[in-house]
Amino acid sequence: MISTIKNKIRIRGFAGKLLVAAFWLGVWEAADRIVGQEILVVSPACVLERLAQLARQPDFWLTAFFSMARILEGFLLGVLSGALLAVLSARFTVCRALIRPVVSVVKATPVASFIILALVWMHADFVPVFSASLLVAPVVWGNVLEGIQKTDRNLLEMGRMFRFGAVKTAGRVYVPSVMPYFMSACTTGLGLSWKAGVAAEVLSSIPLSIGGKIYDAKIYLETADLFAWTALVILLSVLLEHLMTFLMRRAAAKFNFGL
Amino acid sequence: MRLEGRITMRLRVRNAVKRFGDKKVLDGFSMDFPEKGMVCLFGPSGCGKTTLLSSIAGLSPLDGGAVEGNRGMKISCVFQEDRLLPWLSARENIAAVFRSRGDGLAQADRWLRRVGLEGAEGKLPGQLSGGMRRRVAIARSLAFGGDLFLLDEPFQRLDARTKKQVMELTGSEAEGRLGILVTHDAGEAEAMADVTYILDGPPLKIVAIRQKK
Repeated sequence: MISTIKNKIRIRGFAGKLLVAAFWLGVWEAADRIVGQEILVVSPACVLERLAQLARQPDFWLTAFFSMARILEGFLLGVLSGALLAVLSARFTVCRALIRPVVSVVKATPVASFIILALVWMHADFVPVFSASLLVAPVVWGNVLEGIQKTDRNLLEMGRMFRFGAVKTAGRVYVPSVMPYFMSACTTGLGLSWKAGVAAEVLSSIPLSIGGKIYDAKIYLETADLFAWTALVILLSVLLEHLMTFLMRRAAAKFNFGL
Repeated sequence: MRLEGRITMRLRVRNAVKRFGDKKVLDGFSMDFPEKGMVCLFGPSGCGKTTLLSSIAGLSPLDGGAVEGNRGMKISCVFQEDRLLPWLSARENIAAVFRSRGDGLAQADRWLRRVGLEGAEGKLPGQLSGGMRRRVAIARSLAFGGDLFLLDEPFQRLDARTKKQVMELTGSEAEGRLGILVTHDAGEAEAMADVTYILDGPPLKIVAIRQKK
């Protein structure tokens, strides 16, 4: 009985999402017909068709793979550095005082400035990784630090009382408390890493990169290609976000984290 | 105030001072505890009993004075709140106080049975009633064991029958060791305490001492 009700709710939710998607596709289609110039707006059907054509080209999958690898590398680097700095900031006030202004500066600085500066400092291949990590790290730092600071003092006292020690306190109290904050940061950070990573690829003109293809589309005024590659970025970003959420929920269930 | 009698002094609170803002909860408070037996702290809410307990546990540093004799002591506590880890099952919450997880899980099942919670081993605290959570918290404290049991209103939310069983279990486990029981319930004090300190405050003060006859 309960599972039937749950299934009905799930179906209704899915149907609702489909209706929203259909509405916005309709708006897009209408915009294409009103504007009537393919150089400005391309219809959803044309984008899909172009995407299918591109998918048949040999370098399409390599391009998608390398871009995704770069962005994931940057994302993971940002997550690791952000989390590590958050732990240090929670432990040492000096560390927090030193990092806070840097985070504010990074958040306020346009990503293009960092990308161009990075192009001067390092090899172009590493710029998307660097840019993605730079945008992800502050988000993870802020969320994880907040999670640590909001960990229930009563539970920490309980851990001290029952001699949990550092490792058990971290594993049994801090990690489950911080997990919802960490997961939220990862979800936001993954989207940001795609934005920064692809922007860096555009400005670096790296071969076998989605950003490079977007740059080519701009040069040759191939609006359909621009829309198709952008659609691919959105698709990959959504897929990766779902995969990450799924894996984290599995890990949470396995290790009794509080998600 | 010094409790003379059959038992030697061990744990002591000396001229303890504890402030929360402008409010002095402990103001030169002193108390000697026996080496073993159940000491009951009986008094109205907010008089400073829990603050005294936290200071003895070493969880809340004093602003002045000292607690002597608690260093190196293995202290176990039933907090006023259950303080169970919400993401761990009843069994895992108890097992967490053991060094080895495997041994801890087996011991946890035994303790859950002793407090009448067989069948609830795999349930999360959120799936248990208030009384069941309380019993898990008591079982955790008894499973941890120690030289000193700090029991801050441990039997609240328990029905009369369960309370009697759990009080008996707690009494037998604390036997031969020192237990400090904070309660508002005269019946609990009567049933469990070897000596009852009647307190008032804040600031906390001893109004009377009653030895078990």
